[in-house]
Amino acid sequence: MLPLDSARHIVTAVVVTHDGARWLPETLEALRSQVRPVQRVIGVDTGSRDRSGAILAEYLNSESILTLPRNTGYGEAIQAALDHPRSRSGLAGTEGTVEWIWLIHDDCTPEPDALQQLLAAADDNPRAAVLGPKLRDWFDRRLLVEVGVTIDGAGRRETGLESSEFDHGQHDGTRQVLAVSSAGMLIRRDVWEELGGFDRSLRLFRDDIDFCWRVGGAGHRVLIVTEAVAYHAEAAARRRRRIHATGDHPRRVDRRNALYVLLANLPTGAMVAALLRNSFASALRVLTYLVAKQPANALDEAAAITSVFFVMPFRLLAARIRRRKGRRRTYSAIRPFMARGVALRQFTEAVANLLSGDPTPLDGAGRHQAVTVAPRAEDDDDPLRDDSGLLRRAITNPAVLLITGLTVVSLVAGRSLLLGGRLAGGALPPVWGGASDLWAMYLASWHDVGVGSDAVAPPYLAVLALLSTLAFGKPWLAVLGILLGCVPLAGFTAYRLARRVLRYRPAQLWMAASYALLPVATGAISQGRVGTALVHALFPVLGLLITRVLTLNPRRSRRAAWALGLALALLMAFVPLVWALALVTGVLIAVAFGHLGRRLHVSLAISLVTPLVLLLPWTLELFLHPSLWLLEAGINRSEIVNPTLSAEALLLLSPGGPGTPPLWVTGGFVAAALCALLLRRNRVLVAVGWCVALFGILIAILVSRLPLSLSQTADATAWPGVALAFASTAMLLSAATAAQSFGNLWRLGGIRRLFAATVTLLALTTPVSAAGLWMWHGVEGPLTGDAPPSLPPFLESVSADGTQPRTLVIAPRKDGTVAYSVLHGRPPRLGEPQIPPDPDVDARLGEVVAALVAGRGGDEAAVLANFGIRYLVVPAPEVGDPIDRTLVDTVDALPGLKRLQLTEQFALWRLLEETGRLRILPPGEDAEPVVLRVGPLDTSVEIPPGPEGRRLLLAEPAGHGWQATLDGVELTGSATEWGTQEFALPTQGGRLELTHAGLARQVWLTVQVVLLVVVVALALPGAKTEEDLREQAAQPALRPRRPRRRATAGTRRAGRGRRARRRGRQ
Amino acid sequence: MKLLVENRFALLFLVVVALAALFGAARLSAAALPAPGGDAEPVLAPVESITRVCPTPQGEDRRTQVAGHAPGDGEGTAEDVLEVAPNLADAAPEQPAAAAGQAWLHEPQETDSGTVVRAEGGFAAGAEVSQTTTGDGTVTEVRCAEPSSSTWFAAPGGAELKQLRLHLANIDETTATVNVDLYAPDGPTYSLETRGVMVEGRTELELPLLPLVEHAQAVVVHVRTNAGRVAAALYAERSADGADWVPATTAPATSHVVPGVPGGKGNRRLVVAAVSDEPTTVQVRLLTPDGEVETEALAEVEVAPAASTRVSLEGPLESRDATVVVTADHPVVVGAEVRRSDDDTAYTAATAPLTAGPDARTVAPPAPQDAKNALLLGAPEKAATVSLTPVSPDGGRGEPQTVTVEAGTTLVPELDPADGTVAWEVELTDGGPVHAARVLTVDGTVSVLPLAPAPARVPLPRVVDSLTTVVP
Repeated sequence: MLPLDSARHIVTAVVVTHDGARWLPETLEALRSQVRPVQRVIGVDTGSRDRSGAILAEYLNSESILTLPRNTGYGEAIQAALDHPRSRSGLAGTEGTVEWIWLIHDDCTPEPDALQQLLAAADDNPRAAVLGPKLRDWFDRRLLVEVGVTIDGAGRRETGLESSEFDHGQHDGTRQVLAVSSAGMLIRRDVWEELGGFDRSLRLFRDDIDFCWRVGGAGHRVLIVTEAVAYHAEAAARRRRRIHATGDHPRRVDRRNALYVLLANLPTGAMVAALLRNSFASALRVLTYLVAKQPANALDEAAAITSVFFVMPFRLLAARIRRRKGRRRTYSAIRPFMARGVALRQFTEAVANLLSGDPTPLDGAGRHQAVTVAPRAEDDDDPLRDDSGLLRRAITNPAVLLITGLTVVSLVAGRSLLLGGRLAGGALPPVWGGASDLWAMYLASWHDVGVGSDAVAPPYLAVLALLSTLAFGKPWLAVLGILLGCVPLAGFTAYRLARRVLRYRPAQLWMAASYALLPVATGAISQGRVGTALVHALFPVLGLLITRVLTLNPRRSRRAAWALGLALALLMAFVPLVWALALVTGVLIAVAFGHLGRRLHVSLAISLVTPLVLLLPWTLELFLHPSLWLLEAGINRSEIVNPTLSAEALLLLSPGGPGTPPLWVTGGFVAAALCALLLRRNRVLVAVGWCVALFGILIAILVSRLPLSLSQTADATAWPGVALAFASTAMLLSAATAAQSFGNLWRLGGIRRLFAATVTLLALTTPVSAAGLWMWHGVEGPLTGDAPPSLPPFLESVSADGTQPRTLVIAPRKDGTVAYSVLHGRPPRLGEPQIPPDPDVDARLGEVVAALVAGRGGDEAAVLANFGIRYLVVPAPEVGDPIDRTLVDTVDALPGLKRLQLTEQFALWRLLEETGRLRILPPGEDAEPVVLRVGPLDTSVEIPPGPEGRRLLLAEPAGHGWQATLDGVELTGSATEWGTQEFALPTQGGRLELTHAGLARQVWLTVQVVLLVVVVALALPGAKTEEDLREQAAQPALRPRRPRRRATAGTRRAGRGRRARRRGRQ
Repeated sequence: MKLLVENRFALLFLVVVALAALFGAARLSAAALPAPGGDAEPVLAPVESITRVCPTPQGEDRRTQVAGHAPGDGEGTAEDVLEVAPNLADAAPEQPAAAAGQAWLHEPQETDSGTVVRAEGGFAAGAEVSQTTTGDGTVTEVRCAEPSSSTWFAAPGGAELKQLRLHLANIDETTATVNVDLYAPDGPTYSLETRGVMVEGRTELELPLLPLVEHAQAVVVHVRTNAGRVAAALYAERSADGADWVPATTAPATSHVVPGVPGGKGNRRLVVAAVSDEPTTVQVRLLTPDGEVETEALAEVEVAPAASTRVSLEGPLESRDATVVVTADHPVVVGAEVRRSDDDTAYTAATAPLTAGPDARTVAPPAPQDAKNALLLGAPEKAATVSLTPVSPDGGRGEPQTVTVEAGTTLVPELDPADGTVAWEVELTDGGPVHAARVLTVDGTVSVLPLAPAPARVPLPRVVDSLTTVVP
């Protein structure tokens, strides 16, 4: 027992109740049973419509009860109570007595010794004017609710606690804080009166912080007394009861009051900064709410911030003047107690929740704000999980561990890619330049690539450009992110999918890890296949979206269908085969879930047609050249594809080529999946998984065997990676489904236990050995982080003046074919491999190259000049001895070429004849063309006068919308014998304007942007509304039409969502 | 269905069967696929133009003719053009033939720069051009060569050799740089005179080699260009009459066939050079009309590294016509020398065979009127059927004559020329390969022209427009 002179302190408790019948009796009982009794109690009933008034009357003297209108604010109610004569009655103040006010919410139950502890603390700290107890949760009395509160620069109320933190005394210790909650707040009455009580403008929310701030400003102290404990239900803040003190929506009031408190109390400079900061943040938030399809929230946010500018200025001014009067301390006394870094913490918490798959709590640690979602029904009696603490959750969460592990594996394996200046190799052209280059290439109607082309840029270029823009404008960062990030990302998405369709945690983890480390992934990385890497990472997302389409209520299901269409478009842009697989899956779903009717059919149609429309001009290409369906983004090269991939490899899900692990790696899990067929539980699902897997393998066999019919000079062999990823997903799901019963098998013991153990071991070999081998070998494929330069540095410096001389690069290959390409004084860019050259002109060039390599003829140099080619490069030349003639000798012997250099990296020749993209050819047989200096695209150049009959030669394919005007007069164009463009030139000179018409492309791009915006708007999921939840609950569990038909639906589609399944169990 | 649901192993069985089916499908389809790249049909392009360079005629008071013939069934798009002109920048070309398919003879202008034959279209497809010089009871014939970057000669040697001259003709405008490598019996011979020889554009350069090889028994000459291309010809002179052009031989290989070693008296010698840095063992087989002659002396001929040697053939041959087959364990270059008397020498060299396909045909170019034509056909591996068609100057064809060369023999068919026949079209119709040579006889002196295939269509490497050129 503390030495206490109770006569020194006179305490007036003020109980304000508003529809609080549920808690009030307990509260009043607690007040009555205080060890240190209160001298006076005033009850205020602000127009309760339940039994609150009656309950008050049961406990209190009727004279001590005030009844106020329903819309009375908390501050007003207290003031009214203090103005009541009973609050002054009886105990005439003797010398040295201190009058206290104890604010008791109707939902706040103090411990019996709470007041005693508070007063003891007040005795110890004579300067303390406001004291507050430690608040724990009313329902679960182990949980901490508040130990003092503070506010941050954005007006957020901050308690400094984790969400659902247990009280182990970790925050104990009586100390000074910025503010304490008004629930259980003990205030020196003279200070209250001096400061005028709670600000009348703040009818609800932040009134306590504002008051305590002013108390601190007046030179007093605000203490949190952790020895004193009260239990608080936070009924108003958690919306367990409706608020009538203000007519506006609580969220708007909360935001407005937060701004008010900040702007009223901060010193001028900080206030201006806070105003700017909050205006900006509010604009962002409005945008976020709009994107999340929450217009009401957006309106509240906008209203709150605009009210600061249009409604509050005078109130704020008045409030600031009032506060200045009472101020004794500068801001420096307050600042140490302000909260910092709240936004960052909330962000990390959201990310952690996303990773662990928990729903993001909208009311995080800093509750007591207006919440946007009603508390979950089970909140009151949910058995609490022991998962408090962000770090602890992160460490113990298997998903976080899995993804961290996969990231480490990727980084270790990809160590060779991280260092080095240039990422290139395999299917990946050198990644250089900036995002703007990629955008320019996508938007262009004419590509300065090869001999020139007006083909449509592949749509994946736009995706890469977008990603590069997000990666600070660095394409290499985006590409490296896709390549190295695909394994952890695939693990994450596969885990999300597994959580949706599987119940057994180890099976979920095993499936995610196995999927992430499939041979397809390591192969795609080694071979530089950005497309397959991305598809591998996002494939499970398609599965997730399909389950959403099938399980959600009509409105949200339709949104998911649009999202599915968008995701499909994204993946199809890289690997068109995904669409074909999706089409087959869609047909299966339509058959299996046909009883859902038109709604499902429309959704499926939306998902399948949206990609075709979004990628339109390119989609036509796909249908015109069906071989393109089997190819993917990047350079299609035969040498990284095994054209006669063995049957064993296909059945063991290895797509072949560099970077794929040995075949036995996947053997374990295929064997385990086969063993899964022996179990009787979940038979149908396992069978379905196997059916889909077999179908995927069949597709993979077709892909790797079908001959591609492309143009003569094209070079391509299809890689069955994506089809095998599809098959593996199905196989993994069927194996993992079966694994759910392993727990039972283990318990049954005997032979069953042995079986379960063996299969588990088999299954585990796959992810473990895949990760181990991958880390040991690293990414050792054609892909390298330090690719040698594509062109001799000499050429790049020559090209720096903007002329970009065309360079023919010839490389003989091992199989006897000869590869060639025309570069423009710079290395090729991402996306260039998918821009097909003009077929006629390219075929002519091909003939010239063949003749040149074969060493026949002798006039090749003159022909190359017609294509505007100035240099010839042989990379990594083989230098023969006198007996062994090589390509270098052959080219050396060509008349009209002069060798400039021969190193280990390059042999470089220059044409003796001056040539360029634009030349004037005077009439006559032996006339020497005059080369004009022009840039790579549209150009304007001065033409001198010349003789009759001269021609203007443009080394670009003819008939693709080239227009030339000389002083405004259009020149007539025609094609040369090489298929390039020429114009008849008059005798007089003038200004030549050369343009390429690309209106159709620009119009289509505009349409495409509009379409994309519309689809994105339709696809945005929006926040879950209460209505959605109700509908969701009302919807019956989804089942395929007939039990047997489920067999055709595929496991991924048959997932019914957790909620539905939970009900199914009950 | 009931079984499927109830039996524990039914499902596994079904899946295993399906997997086996897929395995079989994958196996079979892989076997059915053509091997990548290997069996791809080569791209055949019609020969649309040829350029040949005939060296400056040697010997005085003799009559020189440039003669050529093309079967004239060019499939290309080029017009038929035939132009013969001296290798001079401003020379006016002459057109010795009116229509494609005609065999033509042309007396070149007397210059010191050689003669350039340009043919396009029907004149180019399957054409062969040679230059003959007759007079004073001698005859020499040389194949007019394509300008190229690498030419090999296997030349004779010996103390009696008076002259060994290399004629290097550059028909381009730019200067060509030439290196000449010599392989003598003692090993390679180096000399500053043969390094970086500049051949100006539109000129012919004579390079005397004899001082460099002294009296070596045999010498193999490699003409290679560092820049530009040249048409090379080698003239070996023992006496004014005993001189002839040494035909270019095929590039180093481990197997060669030298056709057209004419019978009769005199020396016949084989020149072999090993070009690698390994001691080389050469096996020589002789194919005569009576079949293969086996001789122990020729079974194992040792050649020092990067050196040449000379092997005598007259003993085993016993005056018979022959085809010489040479195989070695390291690449060699071979040629043969025929010296019937001091005033009659001839040289022959290894040549590519006539094989089925585009290389089945060749042409024996029109011979001078007073010369007697003989064809020597050797079939070292399998029996071959060869069709011989006589061609008259107006393009008329005689009745094709079909002969069969037995395996391992040399055949000298009895030619049955129609009136005015000047040229012969030689085509392998079955079997093979066949190595052919034409022997011209004037007043008892001979000159040999190995007949390489003269295809009308040539295979081109498959080209692929791909960025793989610059991406590792």
